[in-house]
Amino acid sequence: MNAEKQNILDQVRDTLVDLFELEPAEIVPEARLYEDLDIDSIDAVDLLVDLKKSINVEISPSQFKQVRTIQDVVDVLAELPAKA
Amino acid sequence: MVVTKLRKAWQIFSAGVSYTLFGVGALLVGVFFRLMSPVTIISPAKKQRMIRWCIHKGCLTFIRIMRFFGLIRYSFDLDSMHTARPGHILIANHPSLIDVVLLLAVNEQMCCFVKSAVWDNFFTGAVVRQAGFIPNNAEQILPMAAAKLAAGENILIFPEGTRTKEDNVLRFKRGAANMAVAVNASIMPVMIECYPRALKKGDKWYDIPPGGPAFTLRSGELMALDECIDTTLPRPKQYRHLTQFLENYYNKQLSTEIAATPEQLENS
Repeated sequence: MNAEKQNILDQVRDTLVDLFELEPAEIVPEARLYEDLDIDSIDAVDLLVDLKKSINVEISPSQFKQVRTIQDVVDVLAELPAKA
Repeated sequence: MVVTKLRKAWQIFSAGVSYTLFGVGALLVGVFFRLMSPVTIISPAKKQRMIRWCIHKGCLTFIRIMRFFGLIRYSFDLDSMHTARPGHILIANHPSLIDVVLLLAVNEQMCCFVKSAVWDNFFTGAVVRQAGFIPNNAEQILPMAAAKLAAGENILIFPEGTRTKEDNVLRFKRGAANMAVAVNASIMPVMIECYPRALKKGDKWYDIPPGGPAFTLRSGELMALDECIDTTLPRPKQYRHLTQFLENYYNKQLSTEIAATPEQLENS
C-alpha cells in the first residue's frame, strides 16, 4: 500500500471510529463493512456524506455500490479526483 | 388418552376454521376494495380509512373467534396508546404469529410493513395493497414511511424483524431506529407477552397449548426521540444508541412483568 492509500486509510479509520463507535484496531483493509463492522446500507449513506466532507471528494452512491471491504473503500477514494 | 386425542382433534379443527375464515375474510375485503378502486366519488384517503377500518374489525372478529374456540386468551392495557398523539411509530416485541393481528384488532387505523410472503399471498395480497401498507422490500421505504407519519398515520414496526427465538432473548435490529431518527418520529412502545410461548417461528399453526396461550398487551408512554437519545450526535450513533435504548427499555419492561406484582406479594 502506497503512502497515499495509507493516508486515506487513516482518514477512513478516523471517520469510522467517530461515526460507528468502532475500535481503531478493527478497521483493517480486509474487514468487511457489513459482516465484520455492522455497517449497513443506511449507515453507508451517512458514511458517504461524512467522507465527502472530511476527504473533500465527490462520491456518488453508484460508485459505492460494489464496495464490500475497507480496502474497496480506500481504492474507490484513491481513484477519485479531488474536488476543484 | 382418548380425551387428549379428541381435544387435540378439536383444536386442529377449530384452528383450521379460524384461519380459513381469516383467509377468506381477507380475500373478500381485498377483492371488494379492488373492485371499488375505479369508483372516484370516494377519495383515496377515505377509501384507505374504510379498508383499514374493515381490517381492524376483521382482526377483532378473528381474535374473538379464536378466544371463543379456546385457542387463545388475551387482555389489553392500552390507554396510553389510544390517547397518544398520532403520527408515531408503534413498536412491539414479537413473540408470536398473531401479534400483528392483535395489534390491528386494537388499532382502528394503523399502517404496517408487509413482507413479500404476505404481499404476494393469494388471500392477503389484495387487502394489504389496497390498505396502503408498505412492502418491506420497497426501494423508497424510508420516504414512503416518512410521508405517512407526517400525514398523521401510525406505523407498526417490530424492531426484532422476526419472531423472538425460543430463548426469549430480544435482539433488536436497527430498522426501527433508522426510521425514527430519519423522520424524528415519536415512539409508542407496546409490550406483548405470550404465556406459555406459542405460535413461534417454526411452530405449526395448529400446535397450540391446551387452554390457549394468554396474551397480554400493554402500552408505555409515548416517547419523543430526544427523550431517548442525544439527537445532536451523528446519525449512525443515534441509530445505535436508540436501538440499545429500546432494547434496554423492553428488557426492563418485560422482566418487571415477570417479577411478582404488588397484589401477588400481598396475597403471599
